[in-house]
Amino acid sequence: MIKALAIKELRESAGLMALASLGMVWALAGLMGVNPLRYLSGGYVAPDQSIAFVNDSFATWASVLVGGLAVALGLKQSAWERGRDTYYFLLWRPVSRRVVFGTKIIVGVFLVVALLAVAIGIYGWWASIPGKKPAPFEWSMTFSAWKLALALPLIYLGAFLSGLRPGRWFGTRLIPLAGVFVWVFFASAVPYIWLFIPMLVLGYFGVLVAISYFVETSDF
Amino acid sequence: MTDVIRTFRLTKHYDTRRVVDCLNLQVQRGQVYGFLGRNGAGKSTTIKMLMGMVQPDSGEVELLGEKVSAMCPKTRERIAYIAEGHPLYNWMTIGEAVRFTRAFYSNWNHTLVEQILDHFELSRKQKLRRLSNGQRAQVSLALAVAPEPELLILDDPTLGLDTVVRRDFLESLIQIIHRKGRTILFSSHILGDVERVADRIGIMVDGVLRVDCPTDHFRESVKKLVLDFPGPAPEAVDCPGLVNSWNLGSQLELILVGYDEAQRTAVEALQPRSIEIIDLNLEEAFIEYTRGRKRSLPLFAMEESRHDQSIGDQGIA
Repeated sequence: MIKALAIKELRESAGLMALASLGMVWALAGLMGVNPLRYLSGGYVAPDQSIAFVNDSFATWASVLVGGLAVALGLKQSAWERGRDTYYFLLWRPVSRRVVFGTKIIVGVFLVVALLAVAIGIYGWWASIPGKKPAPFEWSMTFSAWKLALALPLIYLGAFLSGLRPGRWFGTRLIPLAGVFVWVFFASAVPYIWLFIPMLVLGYFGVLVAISYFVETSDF
Repeated sequence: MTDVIRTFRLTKHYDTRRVVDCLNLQVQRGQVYGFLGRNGAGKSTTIKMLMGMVQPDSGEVELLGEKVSAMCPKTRERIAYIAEGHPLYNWMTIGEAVRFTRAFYSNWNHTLVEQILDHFELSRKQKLRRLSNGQRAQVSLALAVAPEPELLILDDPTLGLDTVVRRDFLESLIQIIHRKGRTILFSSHILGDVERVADRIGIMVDGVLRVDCPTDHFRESVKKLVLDFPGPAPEAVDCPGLVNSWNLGSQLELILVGYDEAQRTAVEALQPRSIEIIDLNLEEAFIEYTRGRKRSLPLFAMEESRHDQSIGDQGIA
């Protein structure tokens, strides 16, 4: 039954995933010097002086595209079913709510992390080919990108919680998402990994406890 | 007889409004229970509380002897629920919906599903989003009965279906009822459906269960009396079992429950010229019992003078 639930979640997330993947391909193409719009700009491509993952725009693109996917996916997986009343179909199946929502979250986190991990892998592999970038490449340079991969699922969970949590109007429902954004922003600004990790763990713990509470007590 | 559905002082508020008020409901094994009430009477909220979809503010629900709030999946397998509007995943085909639902059950009568789908001439390759309301209802029914549930709870299952599809749906439901004495609770606005299928009814009025009795008993208990007076009819009537009264000038209409000797004496004490006792069918009895002081407005094709008179009769300011 978990397999059936996971396949359903993957099918329902396929559209958003495809959109984010296309965006990521576009962004990576740009980072690799393949500008699909170069013909519109007279074919001129500025010489690339950036160092992969260090001072290029990978983190910006990843934050926008994978972060966007995290928000959209979190809201869709939780609020979309409520809007279509399909929770009445799903939640009466002989399986606990924790399993239903746990499967949703595992699939969502997997998709968010997978997209970013694949992007890091492809870009890192390309950057490691001698001559592609005007600087030597070490995999340790991807450290900041992996920090992002650790933080973005928290954004996803914040969006999931916003979709799940009842609220009088949409603005107040988004409070968890806004709170998680602020938390992730401060955690990312911390220069010490020994502080960054506990801050994230605390964030994950708080959001998961809140999700668990609303899963068990909300009206559907 | 054991109670398959049992609620104890079930109460729910939305904001300050009490939508379900101290509901004590008992449905016994093998019963087909029609759950009735006007829009907003609390039927759907009650059914959602029965299914654990809405948390009661106070009170408890037991289905098949187990509390819903702590029901194990094994017990849940024995209960089917069809929600209002037949919510299904529109992106699935019928075949995919069957495979998806089947994955949750240890006991799944695939032959029965196939029979129902064949009976309704539904192709497994059809997308659910392309189905009519009636076809969605048929798919919902097939998915609900496939695990051979002991208890079926259906929230307005014939809502939005045309007469023929509704009749087909009910026929199927009756066949299902006849299998192994299943218990069914269903809400409906279509009293003809209830009359055909239900052997007991409950009527919710403003969140309170006002009626809980065999269908025939309710129909036979509610009487309409038309009292004709030589002059103006009296305004106030004091009579036991009086549900409603309307002053229509020289006539007085009374809706009474359990018309007996005491009521006859009270009515005769008003000294009317004649008393007409009208038997009601279930739909009429339900309407008269639940509609309160307001009457319908059959005014649109009438001349102005009659119009004014009728409005006056209703006491609308």
